[in-house]
Amino acid sequence: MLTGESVDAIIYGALAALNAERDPGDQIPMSPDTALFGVDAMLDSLSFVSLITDVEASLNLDHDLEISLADDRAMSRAHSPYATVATLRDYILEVVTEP
Amino acid sequence: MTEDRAKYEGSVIVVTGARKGLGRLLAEYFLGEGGQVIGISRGNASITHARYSHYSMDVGDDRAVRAAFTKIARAPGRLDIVINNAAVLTSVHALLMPATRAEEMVRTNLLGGFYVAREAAKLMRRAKSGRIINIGSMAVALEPIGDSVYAATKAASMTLTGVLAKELGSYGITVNTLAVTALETDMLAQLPREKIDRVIAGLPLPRLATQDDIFNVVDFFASPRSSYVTAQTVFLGGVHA
Repeated sequence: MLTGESVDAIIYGALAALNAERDPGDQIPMSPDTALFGVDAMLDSLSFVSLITDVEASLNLDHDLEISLADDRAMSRAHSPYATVATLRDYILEVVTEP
Repeated sequence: MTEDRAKYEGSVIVVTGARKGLGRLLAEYFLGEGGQVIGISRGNASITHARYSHYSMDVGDDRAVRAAFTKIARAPGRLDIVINNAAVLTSVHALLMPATRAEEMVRTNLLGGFYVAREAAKLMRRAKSGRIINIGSMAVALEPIGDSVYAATKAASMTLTGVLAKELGSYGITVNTLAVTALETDMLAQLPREKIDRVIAGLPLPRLATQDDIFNVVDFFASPRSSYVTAQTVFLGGVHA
């Protein structure tokens, strides 16, 4: 059963992988408020794609959850679930706890 | 030549449409060259080999494609080459084309190739290396009567190749198209012989393609030396768009 903390750990793990390839002065903060998508985003488009793909892969492979984070529902929301670490975590929890 | 032996040893290759025709030929070729081959087709496996495994599924079914690649991500856990070969053809005058057949061609030939490339790239990006080879068709250039939707799906697939090459280039993944001319396959057998002969006669090199013609270009695209070759379409037989 996924918890908020375990989802945070997955997202931070993916961000850590991105940070490993970035300059020391260009690190992405590990915070619930870190903007992932939109005008204030800390990630460029390629890093964003990598983040979502890595998180999805972790959910699929490590937690046996075959879910897509880039489905119609996510893309059609008025408020993007990708906006920050916290909104992404909440969206994942919403998707995985659906009946 | 020793250097040509087992050129795909240690490589994991996905071939779609692997049950028959060109897909089966390519699957058997990779197996013969030492590769580990994962075949995909709507029907059951037609190849039995220690290094061959098979998924019976429709590449036009997004959910099935995702599920298959999740399994591939678990074992063997890597992917080096994808041959996007699965395709269906209904050759009939546009005024007589049933919507169901037209939609099936779009779903399999275009969307199926996209779904497979998308999931394959997720695996390949981990290794920062990969080769996606889409099987195209001379129909794009020749625009044969009766092949309106088929040719359009293959043209769209070439455009897909170009865009994916841009999007996946930074992951070390190349995307290219091999546009084949007529080869003796089940798909070719669906067409009237007279039509085939007429098309062949009009080619700059007027003969059927051989297996080796195809393997040669696949080897070129798949080669580690081709890391700077992407977004390209090679037509066989002197056909050109």
